[in-house]
Amino acid sequence: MGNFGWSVVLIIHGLIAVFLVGALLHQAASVCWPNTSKSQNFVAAFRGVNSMRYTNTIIILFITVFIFGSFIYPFYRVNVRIPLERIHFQRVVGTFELKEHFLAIAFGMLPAYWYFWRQPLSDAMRRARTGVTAVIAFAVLYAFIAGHILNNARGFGS
Amino acid sequence: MNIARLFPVFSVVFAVFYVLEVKVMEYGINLAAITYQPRFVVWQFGAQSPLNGGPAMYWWGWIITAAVVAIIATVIAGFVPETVRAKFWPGLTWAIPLACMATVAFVIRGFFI
Repeated sequence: MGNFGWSVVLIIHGLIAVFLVGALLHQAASVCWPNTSKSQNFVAAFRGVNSMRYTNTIIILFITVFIFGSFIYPFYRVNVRIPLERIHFQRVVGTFELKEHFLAIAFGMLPAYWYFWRQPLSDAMRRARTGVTAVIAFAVLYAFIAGHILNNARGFGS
Repeated sequence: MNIARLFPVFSVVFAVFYVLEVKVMEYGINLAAITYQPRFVVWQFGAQSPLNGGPAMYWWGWIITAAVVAIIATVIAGFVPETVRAKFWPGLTWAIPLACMATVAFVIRGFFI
C-alpha cells in the first residue's frame, strides 16, 4: 500500500476515533456529573444523555479503532518513529509509547466495562461503573490527542 | 455461575501483568508471546531479536501474554467462593488499571526527561 493508501486508513482511523471520543465523553460526563436539573443548556444536554445506550456502540467503536490502529502501527514504527528518533523528537515518540500502553490497558478493561454496564444496572456497582468509564475515557482522550500531536509532527504529506 | 461476574478479575490481572511485562523489559526479560518484524512483514512466536537491525514489535505479543495470564487467573478466580470474592472492593477494577497507567508512565519517563 502506498502513502496515499496509508493516509486514507489513517483518516478513517481518526474519524472513527472522533465518534469514540464523543460517545465516551458523553457517557463519562453523564455518570461522573449527572444532569439533575431541568436546565436545557448545552452542557446540561451533553451530560443528560441516556448513557446505557452507548455501551455496546463504544465497545464496537473501540475495537474498530484498535484494529485500524494496529494495522497502521507497523507503518508508524518503520516510517515515522525512526525518522523522529533521528531528529531527537523523543517526547513525541514517548507520547505515542504512552498511548499504546494506555490503550492496551483500556482494551483489557473492556470486559469489566461491559459487565458493569449490562442490564439491569446494579446500584451497588455504580461507583465502579463510573470509575471504569472515566478511566477508559481518559485513556481514549489521551490517545486521541497523542495521535493528533504525532500527526502534526510527521503525518499527512511528510 | 455467571462467568460475566469474573470479568473484572480479567481486567485487573490483564492491566497488572501488562505493566509487569513493560517493566521487566528494563531487565532484558521479554515475555511477548509473538514478535512482528515490520520491515520484513514476518510474525514470529515468542520474543525474538530484531532481524537485520530492523525494529521488532512486541506490543501485540505483550497483549496476548497478558490476556492468556488474565484468562488463567479468571478461571482460578472462578473456584474462589463468592463470599470471599465479595470482600474485594469493586473499585479496584478502575483503581488498579489507573495505577498501572501511572506506573507505565513512570517506567517510560526516560522519553520525557
